[in-house]
Amino acid sequence: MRYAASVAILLLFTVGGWAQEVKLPPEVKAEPGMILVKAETDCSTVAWWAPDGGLQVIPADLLKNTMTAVCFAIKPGRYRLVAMVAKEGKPAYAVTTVIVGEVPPIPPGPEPEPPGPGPKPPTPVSGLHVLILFESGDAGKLSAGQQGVIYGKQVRDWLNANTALGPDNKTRAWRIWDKDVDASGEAKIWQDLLARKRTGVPWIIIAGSGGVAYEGPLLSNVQETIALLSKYSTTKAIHHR
Amino acid sequence: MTSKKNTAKPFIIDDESLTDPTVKDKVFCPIINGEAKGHGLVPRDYSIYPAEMFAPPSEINLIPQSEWSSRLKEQEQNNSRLSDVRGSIPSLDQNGQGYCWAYSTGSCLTLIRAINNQPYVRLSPHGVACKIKNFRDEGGWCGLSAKFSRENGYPTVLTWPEKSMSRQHDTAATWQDAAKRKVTEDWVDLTRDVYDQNLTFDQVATCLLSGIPCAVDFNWWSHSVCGMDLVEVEAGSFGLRIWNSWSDSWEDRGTGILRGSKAIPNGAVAIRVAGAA
Repeated sequence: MRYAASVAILLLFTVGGWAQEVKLPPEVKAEPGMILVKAETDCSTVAWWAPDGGLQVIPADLLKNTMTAVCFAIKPGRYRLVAMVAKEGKPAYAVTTVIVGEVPPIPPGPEPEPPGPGPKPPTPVSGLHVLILFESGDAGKLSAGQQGVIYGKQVRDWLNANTALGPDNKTRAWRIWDKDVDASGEAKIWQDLLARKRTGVPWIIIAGSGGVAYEGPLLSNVQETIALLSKYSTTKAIHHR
Repeated sequence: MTSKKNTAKPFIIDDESLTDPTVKDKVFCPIINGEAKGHGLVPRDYSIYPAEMFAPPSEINLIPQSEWSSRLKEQEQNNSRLSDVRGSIPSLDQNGQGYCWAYSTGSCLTLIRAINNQPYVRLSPHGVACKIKNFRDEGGWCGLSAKFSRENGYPTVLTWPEKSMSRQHDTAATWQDAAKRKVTEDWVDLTRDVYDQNLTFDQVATCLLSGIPCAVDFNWWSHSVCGMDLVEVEAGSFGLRIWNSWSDSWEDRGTGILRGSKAIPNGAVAIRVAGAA
């Protein structure tokens, strides 16, 4: 099975039934064993998902009340737990960190690099623009989840509902291309996004009125991708690289 | 573009179903909206063009048959088949001309553009066929139109009106616009003549499971169509859902399922990347 049971359950939600609001505590401390995490939400159903190995979540369809996640962790560690809700066309999600047992604090990261001249930022665009790049010759090697992102209805519906309207007033501002596509017939914004440096494919670039807000490897499945896109659906400041 | 889920019984074409005269008429002599629909594939005359052991395009990493069923289930679960990507895009219509061999590649290009989310525009394979055949109503092979698409692209109905046989559209402006939609990557054996370019059933299946449409020729049908989905008709029995060029009024919104010997192509090209415009 390519999907964990909890992810399979998330697939029961359609984009048409996505979200309003859900809240989780920033972190939950617990001892190894059974862990309960309660969500605050105005939606009737919560889907739970633990993207990190080591934290197991009881499938929602086995629970009488999905407002509380029933999880199990044996080993000490830090594990993310995601609560996802959906209502009338909009998604929402919240993430908490479940700290199991005695875990050393996260050391501070390296000092941020002083701002240099950096590459020339792309032309700011109006509204959310999303570009996904992949190698069509290797499409058969993509995971089922990534194929779901590139070809699947759920992500496409989300993009059609949340990205800017193109100059033809019909086509939404998202593209899914082979990395070697000839985009000389496309608007400059797409050529600029295609030309940005990347470390491989498949790859996702999210841009808005502030410039590129996120770029990196394509996430491994539909739910993670929609959660990421939702985070940037109200675009933020330019992210210089 | 989205479409409603179709719950009608699929139209299956195989050796058994073709013994039914009704099915046979729908396949070989279709009359749709009062029009007799054409074919156009030139079956190989093996006395002139003898069969050869073709070397399959070496870059295709075959997906093992043991994985087909589970991958198909995942595609269905994710609504990520090419037929899902197609959504409500209408079928092309070759009218009565024998230009199926240009329409099959045109349908593949339409799917590529849908994957890419390029602005929808209806392509005009009549322009391609007229240009290649100097405006004669003649048959061909998908390899021929695929070659043209690599060299010249495909026009749209905005520059070459649908089903027009008029030379007045054969202008520099038409081809300048068509060039924006050149095919830049495909899987085709370029060491072979256009009538000899083929893929095995397993290669076509791999392509369709990977979201890559294939133009496929069938000698038994004298017809070329777009291979869109791999389908598990019954447990362990796989066929091809093809997208025909006889309008949406043919069978299941312009599609049908080929199975058994009827699903083995005699010519095929896999279209992967086209200019984004």
